[in-house]
Amino acid sequence: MPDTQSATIRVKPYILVGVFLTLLPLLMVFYHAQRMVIGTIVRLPVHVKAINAAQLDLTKFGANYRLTTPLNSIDTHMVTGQNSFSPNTPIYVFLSPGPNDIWYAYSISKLPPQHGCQLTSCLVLKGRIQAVNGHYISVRYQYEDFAAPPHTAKKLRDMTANNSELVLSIGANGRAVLRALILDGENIAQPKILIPELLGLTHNIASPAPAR
Amino acid sequence: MSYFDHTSNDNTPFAGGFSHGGATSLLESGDSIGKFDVAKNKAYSSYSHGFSTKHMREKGGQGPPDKPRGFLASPITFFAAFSLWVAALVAVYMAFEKYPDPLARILILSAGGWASLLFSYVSKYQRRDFFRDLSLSTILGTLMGAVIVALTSYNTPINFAAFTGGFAFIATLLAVILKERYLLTIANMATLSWTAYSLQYLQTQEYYWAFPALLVVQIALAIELRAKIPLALASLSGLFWLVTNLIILTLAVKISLLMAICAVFVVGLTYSRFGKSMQDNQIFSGLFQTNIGWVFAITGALLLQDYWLMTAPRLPWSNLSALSVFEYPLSAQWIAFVLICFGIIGLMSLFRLRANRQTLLGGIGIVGFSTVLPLSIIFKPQILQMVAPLNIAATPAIGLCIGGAVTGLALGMLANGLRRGKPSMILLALITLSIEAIIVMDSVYAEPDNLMLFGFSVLVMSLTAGLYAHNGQMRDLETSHA
Repeated sequence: MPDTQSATIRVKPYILVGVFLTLLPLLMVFYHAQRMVIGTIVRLPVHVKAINAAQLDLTKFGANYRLTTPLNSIDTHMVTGQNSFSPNTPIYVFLSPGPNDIWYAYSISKLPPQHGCQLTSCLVLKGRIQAVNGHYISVRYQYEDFAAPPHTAKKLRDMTANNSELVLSIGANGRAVLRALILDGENIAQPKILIPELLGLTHNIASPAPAR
Repeated sequence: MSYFDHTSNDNTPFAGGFSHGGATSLLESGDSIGKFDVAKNKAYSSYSHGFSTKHMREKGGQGPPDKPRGFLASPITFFAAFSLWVAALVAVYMAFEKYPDPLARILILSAGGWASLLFSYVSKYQRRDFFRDLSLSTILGTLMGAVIVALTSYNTPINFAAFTGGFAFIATLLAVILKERYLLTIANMATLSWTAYSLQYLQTQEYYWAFPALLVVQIALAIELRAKIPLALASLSGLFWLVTNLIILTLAVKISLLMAICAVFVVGLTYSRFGKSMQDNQIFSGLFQTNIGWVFAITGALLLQDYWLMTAPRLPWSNLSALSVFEYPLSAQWIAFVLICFGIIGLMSLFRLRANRQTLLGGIGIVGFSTVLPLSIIFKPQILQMVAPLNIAATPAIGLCIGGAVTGLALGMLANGLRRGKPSMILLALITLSIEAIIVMDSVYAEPDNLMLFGFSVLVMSLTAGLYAHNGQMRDLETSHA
C-alpha cells in the first residue's frame, strides 16, 4: 500500500534546513580564513590582560583575554582630521609605519576613505568609538576580545616579559582580524584552514602610507 | 429583510453566524466570515497538525487527516529517530569535552542538527507535538552552537546585540522554511531581546534598518499560520522598536519630542488603515492590527493634545527646545517619512474607494485628519500668528479641538464596538474616553467656557463620523440592490 502521508509532510524543507545549518558555520570559517589570508599584514605592540570574572563582559562570547594596542587610545590633537566625536560612532583610522616597524595613526575620519585611496597606498582600520575623554578617544576594532584556547591561555599565564606583539590582517574595507600573537618571541598563529591558500589567495605586506 | 441587520463596510459578522458544514466554531475568534475565511480556517487546521491543504483536498475537505500509517508511523521508527537524536547530543557533549579542534566541533554539531531534523520530521509525522518542539529546539541549539564555536575559535567575538539579531533572523528563516509556529515564537522572543538591548544601552544598533523587514516577514508568517501569540509578540516588538528608536533619536537631539510623538501618531494611523484593509479582505487578525494602530495613533494624539492645552509652562513641554521642526539634523528624513505615511493612508483609502467600501469624502476626511496634527507642529508659529487677530488663545483652543476629535472618534468606536459585539473595541474606546476626561478636566475647570468649545468639537466630529458611517451604509445598500 503506498504511503500517502509521506507526501503530505514535505521532505525538501528539512533537507534545505540541514544544508543551511551545515553550510553556515563552514562559510563563516572560510570567510574568516580568507580574511586572514588576503588582508594587509600589520604588526603592533600589544598588552595582554586576562579578563577576570568581575570584569567579564558577558556580551562577548568566550572572550577571556583583552588585547590592547596603542591604536586603542588616540590623541586627537596628534592626528589630522576631525576632532569632534561621540561614542558608538564608526571611525576610520589611517595608519602609517613609524620606527621599529610599528604602525601609528596619522589621521582619523568619520567617513570611509575614497575608493581610489584604498586601491593605492592607504591603510585604513575601521573601528568604533567606545568613549571620549577630552581630546582622547578610546576606539575598539573588534580584535581586542581574545578567546584563548587552553594551550594559548597557558602560554599567556606563563609569559614573563611584556614584549608581545600581535599580527593583524587588515582588509580593504578596514576590518581587522587577528592573525597571530607573538609572545616572548614565540609565534602563536590563529587556527586556520588551507582552503583560501589552495585557491591561490595571498596576503599583502603593508606599503608605506602617503606623506601627511 | 436580513440585509438591514448587517453593515458590510465594517465587516461585522452576521449575528446569526454562518454554518458551512460545521465551520461556525472555527470562526469564533476571527474577525470576518465567508467562504474565503472558511477555506483559510481549514488550511489552518491542516497547518496546526503539519498537514498540507493538498491532503485536505484529497480528503474532500472533510474532517481531520487520517491516522498516520506506514513505516514512518511505526513506533520502531520513532524509537530509532529518538535514539539517533540522543546519540547525536551525547556526541556533541563529547566533542566539547574531548576534541578542541573547532572544525571537528562544528561538524559534530552539524551532525547533531541533522539528527534533530530527522527526529523533528518523524515526530511531526506521528503528531507528537512535544518531541517535535523539542527537536526543533535542538536544531536551533546545534546551529547557534556551531556559529558560536566558529566565532570564538577564530577570534571574532560578536556583541550580544549582533548575536540576538542574527539569531532572530536565522530563527525566522527556519520558521519560514519549516512553517513552524514554535520557531516563529522563538524568533519573536529573540527580536524582542534585540530591541530591548538597544533600549538598555540607548544605542541604535548597526543593523536597525533591517528590523522592519524582519517584522514584516514575522507578521506575514504569523497571519499565514494564524498564530495569535507570535502575532502579538511581533506587534509588541514593532511597538518596542519604534518607541526605542524614537527615544534614542530624541535623546540624541536628532529630532524633537514633538516630532517623535507625531511619528507615533502617523505610524499608528497608517497601521490602523492597514488593519482596516485586512478586515475588508477578511484576513486573519485584521481587527487586532486595527486596534494596535488605534492605540499608537490615539497615544500620539492625546500627547499632542496635552501639549496644545498648556497655557502655563509645565513639564515635559517646558523643557522643549526652541528649534523649529526644520532645524533638526533629521528634519528632512522625518518630513519624508510623514509624507510617505500620508501617501500610504491615501492609497489605502483609494483601494477602499475602488472596492466601494468608502466614499471619496470619507477618504479625503481620513487623509485630512491624519495631516492635522503633524501640520499643527510644523506650522505652529504661523498658526499662532493667524489666530492672534481673532482674539482667541490658540492654547488651549487647539488642544480642546484635538480633544473633541479624539472624543468623537472614541464615541464612534464605542458605538461600533457595541453594535459588532467586540469587547476589544469597547475597552479601547472606554480607556480613551477616560484618559481624555483626565486630560481635559483641568482646562475645563480653569475656564468653564472651554467646555463649550470642547463640546462643539465633539459634536462636529461625532456628526461627521455618523454621517460618514451612514453614507457608507447607504452605499452598501445600493451596491447590494444593484
